Amino acid sequence: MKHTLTLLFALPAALLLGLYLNHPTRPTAVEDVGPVPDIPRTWDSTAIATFMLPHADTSVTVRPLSEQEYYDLPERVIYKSYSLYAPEHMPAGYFDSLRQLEPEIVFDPATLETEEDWIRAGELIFDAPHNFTTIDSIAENVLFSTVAGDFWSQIDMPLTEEGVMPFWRLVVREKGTVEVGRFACGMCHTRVQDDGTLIKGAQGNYPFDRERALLAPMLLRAQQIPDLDQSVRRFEKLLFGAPWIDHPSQAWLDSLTVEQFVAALSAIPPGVMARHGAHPLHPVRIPDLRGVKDHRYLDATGLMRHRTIGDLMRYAAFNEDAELLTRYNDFIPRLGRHEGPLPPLDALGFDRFTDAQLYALARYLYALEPLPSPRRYDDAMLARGERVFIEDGCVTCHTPPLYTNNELTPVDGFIPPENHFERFDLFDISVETDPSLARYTRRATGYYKVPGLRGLWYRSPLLHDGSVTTLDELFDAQRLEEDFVPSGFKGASVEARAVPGHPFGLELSEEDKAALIAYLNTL
Amino acid sequence: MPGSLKYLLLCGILLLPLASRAQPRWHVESASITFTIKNAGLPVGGSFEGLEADLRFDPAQPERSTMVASIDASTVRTGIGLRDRHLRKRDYFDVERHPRIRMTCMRIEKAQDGVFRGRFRLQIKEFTQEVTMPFTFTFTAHGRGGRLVGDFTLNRLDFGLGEQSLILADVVTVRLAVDVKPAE
Repeated sequence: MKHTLTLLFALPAALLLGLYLNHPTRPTAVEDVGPVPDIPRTWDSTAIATFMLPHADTSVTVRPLSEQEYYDLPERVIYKSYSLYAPEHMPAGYFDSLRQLEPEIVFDPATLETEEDWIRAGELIFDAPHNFTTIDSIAENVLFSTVAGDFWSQIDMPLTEEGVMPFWRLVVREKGTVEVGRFACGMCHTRVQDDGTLIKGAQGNYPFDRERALLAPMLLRAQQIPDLDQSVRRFEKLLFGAPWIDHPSQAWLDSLTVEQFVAALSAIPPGVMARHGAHPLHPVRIPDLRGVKDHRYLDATGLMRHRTIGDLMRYAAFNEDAELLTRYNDFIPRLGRHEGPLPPLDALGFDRFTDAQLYALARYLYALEPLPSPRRYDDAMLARGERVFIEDGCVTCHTPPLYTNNELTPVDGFIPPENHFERFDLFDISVETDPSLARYTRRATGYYKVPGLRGLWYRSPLLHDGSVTTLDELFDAQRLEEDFVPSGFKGASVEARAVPGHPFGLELSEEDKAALIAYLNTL
Repeated sequence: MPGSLKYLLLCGILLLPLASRAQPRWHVESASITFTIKNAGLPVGGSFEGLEADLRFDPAQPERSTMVASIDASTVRTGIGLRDRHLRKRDYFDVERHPRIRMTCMRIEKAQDGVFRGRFRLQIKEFTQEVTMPFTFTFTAHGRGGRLVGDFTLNRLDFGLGEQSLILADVVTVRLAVDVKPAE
């Protein structure tokens, strides 16, 4: 029970590799890699110092882990992992067969010689969970039983056509013990299409927050925690607290009840996530990692720069626990108010990927390209759509061939400091979308980045907060009205609300709109 | 005073107003200032308003003309509100610091009847470049008015208007169409 509780509640925060990337110094050719590649030092203090954008609220000083603190974290070992099937698809005796297996360490950089080797190894890292829960009878009953409520169907868990639930993996780290492994990169960055096709690196559709909303209170009550509200509050503050920000969303955390927790998380659709450093009231859509090598900023708010492959490694490390140990003035998410040196972090359950593992992961991600669209339209319609794309000004921000100008747009209410114009790539116009994520969370920079549009055909929901789920909806002028009912993220207890901003394509004729959507669906 | 000298003096006095007569001065009745640039291969157009001009122009003596004109940079319009706002920002016209675009005539020459060629100093933001604008001047309203129409091109990078771009062309074509009437 404790382990199950830990699995679902007292975890190092989700690994979310929202990555947008573009830099000319990245290695691209096989000859650049060589048998012993020049692996960047992930937590290089000089690079770290210029890696993050300043917080939008200048009253906070953000200090990541020091180089020493980071490298003092224990290193992870990557074990072979196995598919997890939905109960109705589970092969007979599957768990027992896994219990007969010897643990197998699958990542050894000494065996990697070519770029292809590194990319294949990187996929192992992508799939490697780093949080483990033993399959005991309680977990099996709660998680896998088709009798006990069938929680997977309650949260509409996507399954591949083989009946695999790809977001978790089964791991054997000790012979005879099978563990559920979670929080691999792939947990959030894997998409299962309606036809059961799996797309790794795409905008993931694991119903993470709905699962939390369903299971966490159930397990807290089963454990007879005396003050459920306080327990929920404590953990949510770890994930989302930003005490220096004077905003109702922070006050909401201070008075959070279990019922509010359930309502807020249940309202977040798959493809959108209350990731650590964001907020359940201001969730963020999970990005598409395919094409990340060409993106200059990472995170929806452009929180991190992507100048070299080392920056992508840093981003992964930051989101793999290091963010929870970052100092925001005297607040450290994992510890709350804290002055002085950190306590022994391995005792708190923190560890890290090695530089070689992160390098392999980055090589794998660099190799992921947006998938060609299977959508077919007649040439005249596409030509018309392209013309609309140009004439309506879309091309200015979503510039081919990447369909992004790789720039940051300031949000309403944020005035870029003068030195930002020299330091960062700014497109100094707000597109007037909801500014909350970019102003009132730990990940607030005052900006949203311009996303790329390649691969749009397999993405949903759309916009930084996943408010809309289709391009038709995006180009519907009615969405600016207060009585509009968004099909994506609305917010808890919200029936209707305007979806503000990005006021492009709202006055097109039906024919032009259809043509534009067709064109966008082919990118 | 000798008679010839008196005669010359009288002629001078009589002719002096002619000799020193200023170029006809024109008042701007209406103006259309439009521009076109290729964006991703397709022409995109826009306009400005707020032309203020001191036009002293005689089609018969164009070399003696003076023209000083300016427009309100913040009036830039392309049909897309957010784009217009962006154009007013520092990356482009920076209208907060440079509210007006100015054009000053350096020299006008006659090419043929009704067709002229002018060299102008064009100032956008802190940048000044020489541009050549062929234009026509046509009398209208039975000679009580006139219409000046001219085109010229500029390189936006010479004026700090945006940066090099894969899709946005450097060359901008500007057209002026100004209806004038004699100033009072």
